[in-house]
Amino acid sequence: LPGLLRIILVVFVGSTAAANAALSVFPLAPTSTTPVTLRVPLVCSAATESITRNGFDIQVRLRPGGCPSPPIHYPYEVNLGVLPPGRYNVDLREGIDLLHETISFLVVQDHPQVTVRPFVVPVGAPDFNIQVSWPEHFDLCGNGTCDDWIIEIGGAQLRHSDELPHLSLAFRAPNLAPGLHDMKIITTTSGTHTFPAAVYYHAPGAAPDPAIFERVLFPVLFEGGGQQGSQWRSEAVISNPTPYTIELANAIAGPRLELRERRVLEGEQYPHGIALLVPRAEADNLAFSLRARDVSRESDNFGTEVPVVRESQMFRDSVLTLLDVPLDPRYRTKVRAYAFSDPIFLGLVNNNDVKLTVRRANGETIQQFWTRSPVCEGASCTATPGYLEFDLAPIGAGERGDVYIQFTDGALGWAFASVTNNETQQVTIISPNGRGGQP
Amino acid sequence: VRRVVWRCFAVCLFFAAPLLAQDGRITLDPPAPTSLTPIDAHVFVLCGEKSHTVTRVGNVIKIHVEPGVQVELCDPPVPYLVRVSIGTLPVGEYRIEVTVGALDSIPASRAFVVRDAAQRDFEIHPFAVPTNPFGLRLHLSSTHDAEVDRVFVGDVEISQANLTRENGAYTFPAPTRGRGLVDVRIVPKAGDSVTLPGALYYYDFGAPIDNSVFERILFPVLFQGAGAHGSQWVSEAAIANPQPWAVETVNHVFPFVCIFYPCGERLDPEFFISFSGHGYPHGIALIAPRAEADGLSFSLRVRDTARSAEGYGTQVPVVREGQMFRNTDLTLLDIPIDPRYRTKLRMYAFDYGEHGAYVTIDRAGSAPSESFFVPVRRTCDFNLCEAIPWYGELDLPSGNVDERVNVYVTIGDADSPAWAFASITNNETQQVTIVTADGEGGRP
Repeated sequence: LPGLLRIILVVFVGSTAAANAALSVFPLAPTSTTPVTLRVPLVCSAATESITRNGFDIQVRLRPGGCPSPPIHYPYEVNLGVLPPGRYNVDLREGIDLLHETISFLVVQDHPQVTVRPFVVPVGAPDFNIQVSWPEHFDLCGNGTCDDWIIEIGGAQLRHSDELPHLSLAFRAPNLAPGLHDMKIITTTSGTHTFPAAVYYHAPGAAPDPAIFERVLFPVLFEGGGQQGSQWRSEAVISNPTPYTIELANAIAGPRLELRERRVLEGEQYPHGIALLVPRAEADNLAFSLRARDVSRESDNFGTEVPVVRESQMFRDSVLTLLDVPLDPRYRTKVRAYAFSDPIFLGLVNNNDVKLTVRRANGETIQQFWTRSPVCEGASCTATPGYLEFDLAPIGAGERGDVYIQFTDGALGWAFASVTNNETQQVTIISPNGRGGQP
Repeated sequence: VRRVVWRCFAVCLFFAAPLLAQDGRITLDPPAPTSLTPIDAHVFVLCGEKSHTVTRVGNVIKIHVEPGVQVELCDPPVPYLVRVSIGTLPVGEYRIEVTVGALDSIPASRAFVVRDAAQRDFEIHPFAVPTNPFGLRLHLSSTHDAEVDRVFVGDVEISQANLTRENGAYTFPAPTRGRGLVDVRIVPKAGDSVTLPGALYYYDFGAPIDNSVFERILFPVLFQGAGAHGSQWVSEAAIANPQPWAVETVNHVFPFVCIFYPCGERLDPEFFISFSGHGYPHGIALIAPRAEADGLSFSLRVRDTARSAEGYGTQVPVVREGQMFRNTDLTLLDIPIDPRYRTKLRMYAFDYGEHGAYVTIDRAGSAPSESFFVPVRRTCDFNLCEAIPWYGELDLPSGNVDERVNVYVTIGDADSPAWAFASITNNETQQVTIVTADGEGGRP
C-alpha cells in the first residue's frame, strides 16, 4: 500500500507540475553574450542531470527530488550558458517523463561585426531598403563603393538600391521566408565571410517574437472629458532619426516608421495603455515623448510628462516601489498598473493577480489584491497590457505613503501614480524607482 | 605626408600624458562585470586605430593599440573608441594597462572588479564594505534556510557570540580588513562548507572610487530658494533602503549633522528619509554600490510652496547610471517654446564633460535649425568631484504660441554618462512641466 500511495502521489505531483509548467527564457531577449536561463515552474525540487546541445537542439534532463508538504510552486532555473545566435529548440524532461515540456527561442547576435540595418525586414516588401556596414573591413572597399563585393542574404544576392545611390552599401531587401537568415560577403581580396543570423524577416500580421520585438509602453493615449470640465489630451511624438525605415509589429503608429520621420500620434484611444512593438535592434535609437494635458486649462500649464516605458524600465520578478505618494484629501491619487502576459506565461497559476500594498509613514499597511479580467486575446496580448487602477484613500493634509506593487512571477509590469488637485486639476506624476521592494 | 604623421604623433603625445594622470579613458561594458558576463573594454585613443592586441598575464590585461593616421581624427583631436573584447573573467580584481603605438609607457590604466554571479546556497550583503566598517553588520542568508555553524571572512573566523540569527538570516559585524576582494566561507551545521568567492569588497574610504563597484545616482536639482513671481521652490526628495541589510554609500545627499563617521553614508536596514534637499541646484550624485543600488528607492519633486494649495509639484527623475546616455546625442522631443512659458534646458555630464555642450534646436522644418555652444562648470573638492556633474543650462529662445521644437544635446565624451531635461514654466501660474531625454539615435 505505501508503494501504491507513493506512485499515486508521484503521478499527482508530476501532473501538477506538468499542468503548471510553462517554460520561459531569461532574459526575454537573449543575445550571443548573455547567459541564457531556462525557468521551469515546479512543485517538487529537482536537480539538473544533464544538458546536451546538438546544434540548435538542446535536451535538458532533470532528476526529481523530494516534494515539500504542502507542495510549493517555485521556479527552478537551468543555466544554459551563452549560446551562439540562432533559433533553439529545448526538450526538457524530468525523471520518467513526469514532466515533458518544449520551448523554442531565438538568440540574436550581440555587437555583430557586420550590421544589417534595419535588422527586421518585412516579408514581401519589394521596395524595402537595407544597409550593410562592416567597419573593420571598410578599407577593403577601396574608394568606399565595394562594387566588387557579392553580398547574399539567405542565399539571395543583393542588388544595389536604385533610390539610395549615395549610400554605397544600401540594397533592396530580397524576398525571403520568415525567420533568421545568414549573410555571406564574398570579396575578391579576403574570400568569403559568413555572418550567422544577420537579419530577421517578419511576416506582417504574424505573432511577434519577444526576442525580436520590444514593447514600448505608452501608458495613456486618450482624448476626452474628465472631471470638473477638464478636457484631457495625450500629446505623443515618435521620432525615427535613423536613415532607414523601421518595421513595427503592430499598427498604432502605422505599420512602419519611415526614415528620419517624426510622427505625432493624434486621436488615439487607448486610455489603459498600449505598447508599440519595435524591433529591439532599433528601439534604442527611437525617441518618444508623451504628455497628458488638460486643454481646457491650457493657459495654466503645458501638462505633465508621462514616461514612455521601455521593457528595460519595467519590472519583472521584483516589487515596484512608488515612494512618497501624497494621500492628501485635497488631491485624488490614483495608481495605474500595467502587466504584460506573454503566451509563455499563460500557464502560470494566478497569472492575473497583482498585489498592492500601501505603507503609511507610521508603518501601517493596507493590502489589496486585484485579479484583472482578460482584455485581449492571442497575439494582441503582446501589445495590450492588463490594466488595473486603484484610488488611494486620502488620510490627512500633508500625509504621504509608499506604494508597493507585486506582479505575478514572470509578468512584465509597470505602474505610476497620478496626484490631481481637486480644484486646479493640476497633475503630479510619481513613477517607480527602485527594485528593493517593501521593507 | 610626413608633416601630417608628425603632427598626429605630437597630438598623441600631448594627450598621452594627461591620460596617464587621469587613470581613465578606459571604460567597461558592462560597467559592473560579473563572472558570467563577457566584458568589452572601451579604450579611447586619438588619431584612430590601425589594430590592437590583448594579452592577459595573471590579473593584468595588456591592451596595445596601433594608432591609425586618419587626419580627420587628429585635427582637431577626437577621442576614438576602440572596442576590445576581453571575454569572460573569473571573480577577481583586474587591471587593464593600455599602451599606444611605439610609446613604451602606460598611457592609461584602470582597475576593476569582477563579481561572482553564480547561483549559490548562501548570499551575503552588502558587497561593498569600508576597510574600517565601524559596526556595519553583514547579512548572511541561505536559500534553503540552512543553519550555520561557523563563518570565515577571509581567514578571520566570526565568533559565535557575534553571530545573530534574525528572521532566518544571520548577521554579524564586518571585521576590519585591508582593501580588496575577500572570500567568505560558511560551515553549515549539516553538509559541506560553502565558499562564496569574492563575496565582499573592502574599499578605502579616502581612495579613488572604483567605478566597477560604485555607481552614480543623479539628483538633478536639490535646491531651496526664491524664484520668479514670488515663487518659493523646494526640492522634496525621499530615499529608502527596504533591504534587511545596511548599504554604505560613499557620500550622502541629505542634510545630516555629523559628529562621527558614518555621516549619513550608512543607510540602515529599512531606512527611509524624506527631506528638503538644498545646496546642489546643479545636481549631485549619490555614489552607491552597484550590487545594492537597484534595491534602493528614490523620489524627487520640485514644488512651489508659495502655491502649495494648487499642486503637489513636478516629478524630476532620479537618474541611475544605466539611464544616462553615453557616446550619443541626447534627444528631447516636442519641447514647447511658447512665449507664455520660460523653457530652460539643464545638462549634466560626469567624468569628461568639461568641454561644454552643443545644443541644436530643430524647428521641424518651420525655420532653420539653431545651434548654441553652452559652457559647463562644476565646483567640487577631491573625491566629491566624482559626485558632482559638469553642468550647463540654456534658456531656449521663445517662439510662437504653442510652437514646439526638438532639441539635441552633445555633452561629454569618452563614455561620459550624460543626461538632460527641459523645464517649461508658466510665466503666470509658475506651474512646471518637464521633458526628459529619450532615445539614443541622435539627430535625424
